[in-house]
Amino acid sequence: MKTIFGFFAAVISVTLLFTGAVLADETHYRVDVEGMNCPFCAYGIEKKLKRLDGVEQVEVDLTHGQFWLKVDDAITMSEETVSTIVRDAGFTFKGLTRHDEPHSQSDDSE
Amino acid sequence: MSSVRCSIRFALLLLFANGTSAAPITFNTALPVAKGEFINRELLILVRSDDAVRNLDVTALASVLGYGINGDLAIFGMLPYVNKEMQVTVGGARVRRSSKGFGDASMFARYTFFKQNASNHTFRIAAFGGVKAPTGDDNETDTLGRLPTPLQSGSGSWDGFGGVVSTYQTLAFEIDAQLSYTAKGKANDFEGGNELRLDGSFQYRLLPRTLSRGTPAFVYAVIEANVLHGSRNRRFGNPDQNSGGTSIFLSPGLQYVNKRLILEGSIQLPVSQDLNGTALENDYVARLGFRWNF
Repeated sequence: MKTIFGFFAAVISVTLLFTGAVLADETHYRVDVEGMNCPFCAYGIEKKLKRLDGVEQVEVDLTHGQFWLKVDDAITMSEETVSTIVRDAGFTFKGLTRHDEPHSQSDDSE
Repeated sequence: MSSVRCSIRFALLLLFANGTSAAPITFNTALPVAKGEFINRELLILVRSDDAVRNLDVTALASVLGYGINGDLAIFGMLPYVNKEMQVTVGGARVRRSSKGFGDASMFARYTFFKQNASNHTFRIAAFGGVKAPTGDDNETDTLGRLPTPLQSGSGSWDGFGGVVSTYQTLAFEIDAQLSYTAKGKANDFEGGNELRLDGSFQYRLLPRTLSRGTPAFVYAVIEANVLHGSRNRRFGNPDQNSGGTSIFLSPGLQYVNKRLILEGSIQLPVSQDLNGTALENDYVARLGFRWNF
């Protein structure tokens, strides 16, 4: 019984350690854009953001005018680069903010 | 001769078969094309016109390519493939004449000189201008000789056009308005009448009824109005009394829009056609097509 308990404790510890390591390897950025009101309009920005170094995933939230980026933790997103992409697509850049949580766990009202 | 009027109008319809974002089906928009991005639009256009003794059917596939120079400036090129068939009753006999081939190519630029972006809407005004080049064959013949100018695949003339277009877009709806002018050139002793055109479009999002996170595909109901005024054509320097006039059309349609693709269709119906002389009236103009980002 003591052996079984010890085995599960070890598995849980390793799992927690591994999960923590994975979470520590990524961060999230939110890009706020004004003027984007249809799905077709979002594609030009999404395509360019996906090409940036360290960007692993881009999620578009059309309702709130936001792009959520999952980014390698070693990369720091440049506000100048992102704002240029937004402006070149014909829209207005409102800000770039770093988040520890992905979009699904963030408060929309931010 | 009256078919000339119909053909000129058809050329004008093709001129604004450009493609950008979710936008009007029968004319332009002020919405942007992102820098370095291409947009392709393919549009099938069916035009039917007839009266007691004549009928003209035109089928065209218009291919449009748009490219974003920057967030405010975009350029477009359009090349149609056209198939025209006219049947006339002469002395109780039916005479059929037709042509098919690539038509006249158009190129134009559009610059957004005013834009107001906010969290839930955008308002833009853009100017555009371009030329239609005589790339289509304007000297086709059949067993009866040279085809009349309206039946040729190309006009043979260089035409210039320009105008102003504005767009107000929210997540729920979009309104577009355009004022444009086309100046016709002369070729083969024929000069088409210049055209003044006013267009309006209202697009209302039917689906999804409510928006949540993400980027759902939209379905829009579209209703458009087009007012066209054309001056008389001139042949050998003399005005053609059976050409020119004013027409008003209404075009209901549907658009499906996702991030990379737009599917669309509309039917343009005449509300009023106050044409000079015996100019041939349009019965309908049907459009079916798609646009995609790449």
